[in-house]
Amino acid sequence: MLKSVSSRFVTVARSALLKTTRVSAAVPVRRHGTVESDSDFDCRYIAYFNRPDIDGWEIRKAMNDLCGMDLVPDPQIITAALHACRRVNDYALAIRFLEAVKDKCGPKVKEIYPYVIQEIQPTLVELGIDTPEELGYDKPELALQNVYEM
Amino acid sequence: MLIDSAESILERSPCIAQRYYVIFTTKLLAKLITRKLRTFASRTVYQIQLTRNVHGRSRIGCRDVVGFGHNGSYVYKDDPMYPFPAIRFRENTADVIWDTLNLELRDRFKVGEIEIEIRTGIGTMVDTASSVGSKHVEIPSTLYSPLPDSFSKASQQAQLRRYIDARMNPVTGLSSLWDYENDMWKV
Repeated sequence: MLKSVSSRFVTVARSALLKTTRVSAAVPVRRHGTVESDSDFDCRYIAYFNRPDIDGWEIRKAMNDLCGMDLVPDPQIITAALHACRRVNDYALAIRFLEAVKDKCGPKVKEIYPYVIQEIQPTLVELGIDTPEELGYDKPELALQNVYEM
Repeated sequence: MLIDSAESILERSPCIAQRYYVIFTTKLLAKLITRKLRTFASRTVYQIQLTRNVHGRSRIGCRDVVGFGHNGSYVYKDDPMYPFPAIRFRENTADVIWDTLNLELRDRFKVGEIEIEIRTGIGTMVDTASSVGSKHVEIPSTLYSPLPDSFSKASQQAQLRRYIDARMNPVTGLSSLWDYENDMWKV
């Protein structure tokens, strides 16, 4: 038993020594902090929106952060955000968030946005939220007709 | 000389000399009272608020402040980069309250009362010299249209408070007469 323990200790000591020499020999390339996986990122934001005591301010903060990132939010995150809007009784915020998501799709809006709406359709039906298209907010309200297209 | 009410002392604080920032202590006990009860209120909580936010609340009427917006000021702006404005679009009216959650608690601000002198120019006596002799002509008080709301005492006090908070003319003018440590006029 002692021999096995001692041998294990020796191997541990050797591996520790090896590790220290390896670190000092070559400096590894490090990134700024650890890279979060997509699922971790989604879970973090879903958990944030699912807080029962969330505030209108904090919802807007999280939505603004999402819109600042180079991504289209996952439909699950959008669902959680819509539920959060329902909790604070802010219908306008939900519509604005959907418009912001559509804007985030960028040039690929015709491919991504219908998919997103299809994924969150159950939530829209459950909460009674109209899409901006149904409300007529995808067309400009006060824009004048272009004189070159008259 | 101004006399602070206990509540206004509670809400306000000594100002630290940074040019555009006004720092308010949100201590639970007033400065005077803490001298007696030091054990209870030995910690102060400082909350930095921009002058334009502190005094900008008067410009938005009955609107709720709902978020940070694009730079923290109380402005409604539709911006693709900042999709969620800081204030609501419409005011709260008697029949419609846009949100039951009120963010008043987040940035509470109270203006202390400042005594100032105001002069009204209504009904002054005017001497008119003529060849016959001097006559006194009274300008009737109904000659001029009514003064705007910003001439009211409360409004002028608020304006003066804003000038002091923004450190206007700090070297030889208005703010040089204000004692920022003790939050009162210099003796």
